[in-house]
Amino acid sequence: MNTSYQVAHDQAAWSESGEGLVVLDLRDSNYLSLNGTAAALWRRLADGPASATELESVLLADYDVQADRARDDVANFLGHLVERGLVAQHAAL
Amino acid sequence: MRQRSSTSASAGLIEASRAAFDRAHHVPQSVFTQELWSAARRAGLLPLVASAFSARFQPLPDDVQRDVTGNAMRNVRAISELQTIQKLFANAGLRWLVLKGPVLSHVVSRVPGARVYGDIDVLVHPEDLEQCLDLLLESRASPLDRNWAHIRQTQQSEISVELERGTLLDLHWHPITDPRIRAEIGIDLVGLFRRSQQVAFSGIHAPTLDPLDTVCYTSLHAVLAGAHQLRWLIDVRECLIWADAPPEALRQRAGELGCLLAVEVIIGRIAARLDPGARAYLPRRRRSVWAAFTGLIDRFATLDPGPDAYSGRAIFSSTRASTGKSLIVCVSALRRARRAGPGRRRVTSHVSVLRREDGTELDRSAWLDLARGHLQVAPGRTRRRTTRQGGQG
Repeated sequence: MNTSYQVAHDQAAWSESGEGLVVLDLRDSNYLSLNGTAAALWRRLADGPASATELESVLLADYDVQADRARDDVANFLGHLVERGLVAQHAAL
Repeated sequence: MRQRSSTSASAGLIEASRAAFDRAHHVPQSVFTQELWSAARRAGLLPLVASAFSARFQPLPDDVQRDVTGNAMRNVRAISELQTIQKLFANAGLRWLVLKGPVLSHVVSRVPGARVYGDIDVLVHPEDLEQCLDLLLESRASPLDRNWAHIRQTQQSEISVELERGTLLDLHWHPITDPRIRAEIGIDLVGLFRRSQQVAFSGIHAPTLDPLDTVCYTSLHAVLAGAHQLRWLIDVRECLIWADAPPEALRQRAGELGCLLAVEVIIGRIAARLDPGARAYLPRRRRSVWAAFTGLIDRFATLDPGPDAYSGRAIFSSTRASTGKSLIVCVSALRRARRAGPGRRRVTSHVSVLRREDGTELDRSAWLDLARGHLQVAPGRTRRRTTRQGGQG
């Protein structure tokens, strides 16, 4: 079983800000600033569901980063945003 | 000295703007002076200039980074309000189009999000205007323009409301708010809605004008506002690139919408100031007299939003559907400016009048009837009626 992730469209609005993104949590009106790598992951999830492995490949393709570091970055990103409810996780076969 | 300094900042802005769109364009770090950042803030181009800088010489100065983030926060707030409008109007089956800011910033521009906006402009089908207005007010939006007597009297085609999170929404039933200009230009509203298209950005799917109508409307807006701001020239240039249409197709559409002269004038200014490649969209022969005249004015008119700069704004904003009409309007505008004198600026804002509660339900109804009636007798054109099938659905 694999887990897929997706932007919680009903909970967030976002706008480009240079290389990064600014995300507005619609429930509490708090703003979140995402840097370039986090923004790349967010954009991927905004396009549709993706697994952690697919997100790692986004970083490996676009950034000069080792696989271990990409895995850690994706895990941190997902941990933070899933906890805040801005990214939804679904169990997928 | 001040003039030279202003010219230098203006040239720096153009250079930095070019660099924002073209990573290969060489621009030395010395261009990014404190004066340039100030000029960029004044011109509404700070995020664009910042993107040119950060792509080459990271990191941004702290104050610039703070303002760029502030701009993105305003944008995202507007986007969140647009999400609400989209759901509200779509659920009610209303015909509407999002115009200007969000589309130009997130869909049209090659540097997404770098265009400053903060308000939302929406064009609603005149037959759906009343329902749109009622729905907005039921959904925690607050009316800002409440002087129905004045609104009826001036026959303006827009009304402002403040949305839940504080974003200003201008609700238009016609793209041109001044009734005299509206009558002279004669835009076919039914055609705008029939040709409309869906665009997706920041998780939103919203209807907007088709690419050629977007070029024409953005050009018209820039010219009627005075064509004196670099960001408007950039908007139209980005629209041209986005539309990627043959010059003949653009001329035909602009002719149908009654804004061929406005398109020619603004593209002439873009070609002279920003991007010589825009000349491809100008007629090779038989350029209109008015466009040739404004081309001469362009050499002396600054690209500066400040009230004290000689921007030729009264001249550019006199552009109408024909050279003759434009000249008449221009002479009249220059006479008025001369009578007013250099130290007395015309009052161009009726905000305080509009915000004062006045008028009756009768005035409101008469204004809504004016909008609906516009569809039955389009100015200067044959009688036409609209149908539900004519909308974007």
